[in-house]
Amino acid sequence: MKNKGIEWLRVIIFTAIANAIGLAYVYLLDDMINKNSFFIMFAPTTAHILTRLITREKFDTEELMLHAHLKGNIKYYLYSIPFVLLSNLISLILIIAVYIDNYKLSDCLNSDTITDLLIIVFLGIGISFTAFFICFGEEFGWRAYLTPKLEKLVPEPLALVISGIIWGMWHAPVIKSAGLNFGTGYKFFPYAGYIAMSIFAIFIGSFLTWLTKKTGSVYPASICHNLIDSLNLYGLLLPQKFIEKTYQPGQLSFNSGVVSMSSGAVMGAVFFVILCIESSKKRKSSKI
Amino acid sequence: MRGLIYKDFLVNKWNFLMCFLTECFMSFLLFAPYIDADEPAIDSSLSAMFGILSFSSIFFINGGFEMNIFLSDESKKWAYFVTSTPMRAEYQVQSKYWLIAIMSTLCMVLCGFFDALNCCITNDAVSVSALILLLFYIQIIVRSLEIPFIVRFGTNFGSYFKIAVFALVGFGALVYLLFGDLSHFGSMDDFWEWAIDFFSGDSKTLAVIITTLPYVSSVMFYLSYKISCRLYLKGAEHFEK
Repeated sequence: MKNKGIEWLRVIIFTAIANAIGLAYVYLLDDMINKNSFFIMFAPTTAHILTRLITREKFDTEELMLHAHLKGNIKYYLYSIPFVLLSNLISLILIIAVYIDNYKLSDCLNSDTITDLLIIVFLGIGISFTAFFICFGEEFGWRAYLTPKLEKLVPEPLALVISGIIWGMWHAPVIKSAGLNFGTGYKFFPYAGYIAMSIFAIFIGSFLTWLTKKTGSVYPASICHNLIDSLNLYGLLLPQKFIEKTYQPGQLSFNSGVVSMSSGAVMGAVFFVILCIESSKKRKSSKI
Repeated sequence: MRGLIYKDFLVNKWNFLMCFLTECFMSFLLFAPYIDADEPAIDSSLSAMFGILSFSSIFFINGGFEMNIFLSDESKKWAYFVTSTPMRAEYQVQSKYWLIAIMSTLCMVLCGFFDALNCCITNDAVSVSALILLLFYIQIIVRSLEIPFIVRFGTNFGSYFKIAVFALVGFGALVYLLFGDLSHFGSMDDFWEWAIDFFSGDSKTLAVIITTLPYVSSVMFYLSYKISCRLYLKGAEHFEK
């Protein structure tokens, strides 16, 4: 590939801008992250646009992945629903299996009745599809710019790992300051949180990349990301709520966060393998 | 299809620009409490009150501009031409629906942006993002009801229909305010307190409404599109040459 150097430079500039905005947001506007995360979600989009402008890269319509490509792809738009619901359900079962001796089931759920639970699920799905733009802010950076760029530079599995680590580490300021997903005060805080988040990001990122590749559009990934976030915030079981209800700064919050996120990571790992197989097939056929 | 949307975008570019500028201007209403530099500290209820007023007016204005996009294509020549092409009437109507959905979404993004900006300015500000979502869904539902009338009878009749509906609702509200039981509203302060709690708090009623509306509005929007497709050619007969 020609101009590998400039492509690496673009990746570095993009990562630097996205992280700088994230850091500035968390440290300059204290407590903002708990109140309104609108701007921080658009940091990768801003980084995408600025990197293209700085490095004088064309705004190619196909590369931007802004076309919805709805025809024949509706199923990919809907795949996020079973994926997220199933991973939440498995997480719930895991939480019950691991913690139910010490805690009541109601401590793990973010709702007191089945009606509340249904409201949460349907609310999450409804909002994810109509207000997809919230996570579009992230996906337009990670899936429409960083991952395709890395795929041009390194083999696909490595590209997924690197983009997952960058995505995971982008959450580092929030993990440290607000205890995102894993709480605070656990062993090796916050580094253990960074590692866990990066692993989660690699595998969940694989599913989101798979959706993006199948449709050639960034919207299905935005919807899926929105659904993951909204069900984690309001939802079914939800590590964050579980942590809040049984909150003790320490190992428990970290463990429960890891247990509840592991199902999504395992399901995402399947798509990581699928993408690796597809890319090796493509490489073989291109050699022939 | 993309071509039709692009055509509409070009034809209505001044309409969009005016819409954007007016909405940005209205958004500054949010920041009105900060104008008095001597007293920069504002309480959360005042901020929420301005948020409710500002975002409601933005969506109202956006609705008006959305309906203007039908005006540009109200000619028999265009209607028969587009129907004779492989795109047919369905694509012509669909492009309008897409444009309205895009405009409403952009309006929601703009409101979300200003809501977040308001929260960044002061820690006392209250986010009314639930209200923004609610207004977006209501906007889609109102458009779903209105568009088939516009397609069938033209923009003028459509706007008469809208005025008639608003007048009817307004008249109903007036009758209720004159003769109805207002005790549970209490004073104006009580009303605002209720509105602020409702839109910025964890109200279960609001949660149920916001849960239902995405599905209701999506179904209504789709049905409205289907009805409009059927009515398009009948409506074209009323257009001028």
